[in-house]
Amino acid sequence: MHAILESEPRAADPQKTKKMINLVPVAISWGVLLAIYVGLRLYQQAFAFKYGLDSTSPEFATYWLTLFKVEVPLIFGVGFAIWAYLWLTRDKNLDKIDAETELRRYFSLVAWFLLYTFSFLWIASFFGESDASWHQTVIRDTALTPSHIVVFYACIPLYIILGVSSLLYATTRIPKFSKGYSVPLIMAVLGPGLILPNLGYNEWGHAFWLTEEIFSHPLHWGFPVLGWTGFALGGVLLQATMRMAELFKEIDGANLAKA
Amino acid sequence: MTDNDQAILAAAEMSPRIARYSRTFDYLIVVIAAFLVWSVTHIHFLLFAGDWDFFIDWKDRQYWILITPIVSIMSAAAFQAIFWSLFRLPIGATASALLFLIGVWIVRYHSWEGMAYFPLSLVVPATGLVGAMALDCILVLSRSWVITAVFGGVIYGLSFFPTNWIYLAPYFQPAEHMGEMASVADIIGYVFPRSGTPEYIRIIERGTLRTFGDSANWVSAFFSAFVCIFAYSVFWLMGVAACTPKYIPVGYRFKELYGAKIDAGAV
Amino acid sequence: MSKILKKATLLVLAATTLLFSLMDQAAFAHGERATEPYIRTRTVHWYDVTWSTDALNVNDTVTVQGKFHLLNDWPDSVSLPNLVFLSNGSPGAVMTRVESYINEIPARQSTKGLIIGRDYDFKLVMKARKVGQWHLHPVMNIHGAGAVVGPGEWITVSGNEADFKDPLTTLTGNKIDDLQTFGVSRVQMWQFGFGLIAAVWILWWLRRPLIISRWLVVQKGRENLLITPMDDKVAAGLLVLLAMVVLVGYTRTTSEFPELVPLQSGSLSAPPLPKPPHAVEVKFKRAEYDVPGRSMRLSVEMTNTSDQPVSVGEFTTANLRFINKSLPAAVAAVSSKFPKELVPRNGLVIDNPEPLAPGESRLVNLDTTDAAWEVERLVSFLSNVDSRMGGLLFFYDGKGNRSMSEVYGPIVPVFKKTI
Repeated sequence: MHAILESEPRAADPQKTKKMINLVPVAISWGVLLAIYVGLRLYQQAFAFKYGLDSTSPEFATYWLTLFKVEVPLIFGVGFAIWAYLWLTRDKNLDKIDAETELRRYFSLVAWFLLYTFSFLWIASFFGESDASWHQTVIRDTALTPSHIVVFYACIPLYIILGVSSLLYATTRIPKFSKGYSVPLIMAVLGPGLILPNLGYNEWGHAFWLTEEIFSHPLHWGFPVLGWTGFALGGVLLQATMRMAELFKEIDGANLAKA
Repeated sequence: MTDNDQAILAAAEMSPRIARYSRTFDYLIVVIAAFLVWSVTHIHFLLFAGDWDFFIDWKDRQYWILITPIVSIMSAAAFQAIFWSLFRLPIGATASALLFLIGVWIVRYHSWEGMAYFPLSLVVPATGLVGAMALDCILVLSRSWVITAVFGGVIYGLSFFPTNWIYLAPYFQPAEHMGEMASVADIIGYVFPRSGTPEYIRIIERGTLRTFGDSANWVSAFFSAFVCIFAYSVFWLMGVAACTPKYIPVGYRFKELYGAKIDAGAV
Repeated sequence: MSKILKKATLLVLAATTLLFSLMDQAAFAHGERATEPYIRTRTVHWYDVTWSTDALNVNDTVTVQGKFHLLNDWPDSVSLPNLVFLSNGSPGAVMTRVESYINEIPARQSTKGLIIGRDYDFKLVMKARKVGQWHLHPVMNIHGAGAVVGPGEWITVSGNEADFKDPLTTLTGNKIDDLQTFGVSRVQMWQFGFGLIAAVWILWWLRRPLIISRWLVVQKGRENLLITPMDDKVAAGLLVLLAMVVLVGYTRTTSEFPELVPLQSGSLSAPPLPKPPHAVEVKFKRAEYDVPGRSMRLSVEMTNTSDQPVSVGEFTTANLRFINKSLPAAVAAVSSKFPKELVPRNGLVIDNPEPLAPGESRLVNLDTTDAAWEVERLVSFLSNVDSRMGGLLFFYDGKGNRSMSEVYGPIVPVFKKTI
């Protein structure tokens, strides 16, 4: 767990050029996420049309409500544990870290973003459009469809966990992000996160306004507008670039002095 | 490494070691950017214009040709702005269109066909890829987003119809069905039933008042080209605005909670 | 921490395996009970629905036909049937639609201007595509209100899915082998080609030093290093290439397909059927739903306006058919092939079985007791803002002639019998 949360490689011989990032934890995390997503998709293949079309049937309760009741606390439970870990192990001596450590932490932040953006892909593209194939095919009788239980209540919590973790990692490990709230970082984490509460509007609209499903309907525009906050990762990249360029100089300067 | 690459590294004053770090960072950012561009483009398009792209029997002369370019140029412009304004990389629009197209095909296979039994002929997508490449090329040649907005926007809007017509035209051959004439696209939409998608839900042309010599498609393409200029401009500016590297001071309360250890001498 | 993660993963895997092992092949309902009861009991009433077969091979067809009546007590919150589309309910395109008609008018397009209080007939011809057991319903989509699902019959499809074909010959004489695959490879080939060019363009840029180095160079105002004269040439070349490809491609396509048509839209009018025989005036008095008894009781005043004595034979609502079993004509009207789950066992019990004489007026209490009220999710009368119900009553005279009357009114949930 520690390796996943802190993906910086351990410092070995300081004379050698060290690897800036250890991608093994990222690969493992991708593997776990991939297993979850593929598992959920296979589960849909097996049970979505079979038991997921009538929300009052006992089979629906067994196969779909159970999944819903398990996944939400499980994902948020693991998430809270990760957040707590990141906060409790925060670096209180950020003023004293050297340039190379700080640089390495930027790479670790990048590792977090590798997970965050990977997890966002599954809802925004893979399961997102898949939800359209569900709505266009069947008659909606609940907000908790087999499609929604996966796309909204598994995929969204997963990327919220990873987004907030990225934010927490930056805040608790990297001086710049600890001294000031990064506006683009907060936007890039908070915006997609708000898609979850936006579901309230969506489901309200479908309960009282719209029985038919047009994906491009204004009722759905909250999702893409909040998705636009993803553009703000450009700002985060700029913040990282600005600081890393300084760190590069410092490291090079120190090396020159050593030489 | 080309001479130009070396000149760039020299201008950036990077030692070989730092250049290696920087290259590692490049690779990682390319992956993150690909995920991001793919995600944001897809969710953006899905909920503003998805329906016209899902089904062959939504690809009409009035709205499909108008709306698809307008919506897809938005994310193309925003990503172009980010990569160009920060790094002078003219790939944002192409990456947006390409990754979106890849994502769309994955879902058409795994979900539309794989789960709901719809044949691919019902759910073939269109693409703004040609227009997107043109946007990137014009940005390179002009080095100016305003010129790209005006000329690129127009080309983007205008090129969408003829580009996609090359391979979608066969779906608009006439056929007879129940004593009525219908396009093959209409018949495909009819034959493979979508319980949640009644015919009347299609937002398509319900009749032309003036066909302008049967050129209704081109009329829509021209109007689209016009709107694309503004859609591009607004989203370019949004992309630039998103790259603001602003920090807000965390404040006393946060510092207290954080409990940072600060040397007495440093205070 | 990693142990916990491992355990959690194992737990999830174990739970998934368990769920998969619990899976059986039984067939289940699929959303036909999704619509609110007041919509199902007060809008479209399906009757005389038949399925030509319940077992067929891939490529064989089944015809579903029957009639529907639009109830006068149409709910406020449901859009009027000004624009409707006759469809079918199924989990994806497991069956394909061959033909559909409302009153013999083709229903490929939507139908406009249906009249409340009138009757229409419909016909759906479906062709088997996917092997399995599928519930086949007629569905009436009402613009702004959604789907009102008709009765469903389980259809067993066997054979080989790979044999399914849907050929078509266009009016210009082009033969299409199969609509499922038509045109797909052409789309994929072109889009792959464009995609390849796009990938080369992106790689052309990504092979160089990128993020921090380029940013630093931009900061130093050395843009000439970042976009070289060679890049200009490549960009210009690509623009010309794209223009040529699109121009040539488009021109060749338009000459390859000189006769093309736009998507066909516009709705069709279908005049209603002549009014069916109407032998009995029905005046609604009271309706109550006995919650513990699962019984809907109806009190109505009936006046026979015909010249023959008539008896109540059937009460139908929300696709359920409550049959008066003491009346042979009513029992005979239910085909042995009609889905059993839609014909509640207890049927329709009438407090006075004597036929209603011509001109006679009588208060009649009708009792429909069955678990079907709950199974079909019709008891959320209790949670609706518009707690009314409606249905059709069928009457038979001594010669077996059938007539039909609407009945509708408020429904009161009760916990002990009052009528």
